[in-house]
Amino acid sequence: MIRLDNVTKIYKGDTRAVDGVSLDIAKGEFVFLVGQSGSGKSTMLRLLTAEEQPTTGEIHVAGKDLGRLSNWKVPYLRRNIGSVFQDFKLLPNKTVYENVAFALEVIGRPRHVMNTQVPAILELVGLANKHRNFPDELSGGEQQRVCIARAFVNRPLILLADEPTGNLDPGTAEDIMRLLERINRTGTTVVMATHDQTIVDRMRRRVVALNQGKVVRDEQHGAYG
Amino acid sequence: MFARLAYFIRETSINIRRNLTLTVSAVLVVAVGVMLVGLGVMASYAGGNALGRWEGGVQFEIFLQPNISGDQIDAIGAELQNHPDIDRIEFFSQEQAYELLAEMLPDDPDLVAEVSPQTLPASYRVVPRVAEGELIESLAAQFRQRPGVYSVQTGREQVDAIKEWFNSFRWIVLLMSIVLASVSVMLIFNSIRVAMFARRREIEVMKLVGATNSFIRMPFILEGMLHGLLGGIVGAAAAGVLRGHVEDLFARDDILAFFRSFTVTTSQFNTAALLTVAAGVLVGAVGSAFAAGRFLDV
Repeated sequence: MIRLDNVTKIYKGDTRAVDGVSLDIAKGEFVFLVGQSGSGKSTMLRLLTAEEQPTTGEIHVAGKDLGRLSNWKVPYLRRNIGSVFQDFKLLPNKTVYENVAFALEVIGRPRHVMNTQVPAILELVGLANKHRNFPDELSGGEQQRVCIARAFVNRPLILLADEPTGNLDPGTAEDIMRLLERINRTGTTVVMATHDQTIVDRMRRRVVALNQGKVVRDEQHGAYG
Repeated sequence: MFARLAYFIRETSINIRRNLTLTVSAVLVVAVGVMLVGLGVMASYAGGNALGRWEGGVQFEIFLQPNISGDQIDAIGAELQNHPDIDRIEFFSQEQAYELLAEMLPDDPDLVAEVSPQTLPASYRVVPRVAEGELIESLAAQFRQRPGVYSVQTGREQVDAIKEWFNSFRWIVLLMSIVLASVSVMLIFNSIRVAMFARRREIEVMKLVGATNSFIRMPFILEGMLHGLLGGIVGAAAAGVLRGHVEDLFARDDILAFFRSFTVTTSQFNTAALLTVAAGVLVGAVGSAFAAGRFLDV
């Protein structure tokens, strides 16, 4: 599902954010990317969504060679990838329902698809009763659920999560992890960048540790440190 | 398809409402800019109409040598009368020329007194069968070399001079329209840029979930075109009002008859108005397409 071949990303000013990384992630895997701030986790995720181009190396995502993907095809790649963020990136002037529906609307899905998919996904994340609320009326955990609903409403093959529990208290973080696991069980590949040790240690999933842009550890049922 | 259209309309109208002051200023600048385009087109038409009227001017004048004999005058008159391309002629004697001079210079009786009728040329005013510039020139050339003819005057020189002046006027109008159109493009560019900046969060999310660039751009380009369309309509209306005022002014008795030829027909006005609106839409499309293209890298 995701393959990196000797990928290096150098930002201007000679910062090696990702340095010679090779990685294979199979369909349906749940992978933690761990490492300190600045270890290259976020850059890795941005490379996968083609927001950044690698300086050298090859990246394959969902069967596409990103180096050969023309600009106008990038949006179609992203329809196969859901993205979840630490800061949620919800639109404050739209309701919960509208925020989720927006993701379908702007890729040209017809209204009847929205009318069935959006309530279904809100049910899945447990926000069916709050669909008329605005983001600032929700708790942090609820906002993160909306963000996950928006990322998953189009049933992408891959879900990328960048510190999704970073702004949440431990209890709420557990709830979010249960939700991500549930999504993973539907066959969706999940890649989650985090430095939440408790979560990684408890879940016992594959752990890829990064340090200064290099993969320093890759364990099938790993712990954080 | 319907959902998509509804989306574009909704987003475009939200943009316009949020940015009302910028929208109004963009529309007004476009209006002034394209009004000038419209006026330029109309002035072109009016000038063309006037020149057409003068070029095909109904008559030309053959001045005779002052010392010519009566027989020679009659001979030339007979030749003109029998010419197949000439409709009719009118003879002005030396005395009539003198009267005309006195009429033309009512404030200078002294000057008129200095001149005697014998020094003035008699003349034939010739009306050709077809009022056409080329024909008049060829007739004039035929008689210019004839003995007893002092000179032949057609409107050609004056018309040429006016034409030259008019052409430079047209260039100036064109240049001014280009400058104002560029200003309009820049203003629309900026107003769309502001609109996009105001919606950068939406745009970020749209990119994230895989909206195509053209889908993201469309509401902004529509907004720019709408600015241009509104500006074009206002500009065309203003040009129409101005046209009415100018034609009223030119029709007044105390205005030189020279100006009265400067009119445009209704169909020419419609063409000019249509061009004005089209120029507005074009300006809007170009400005917003630039803005939407520049600020939307993947």
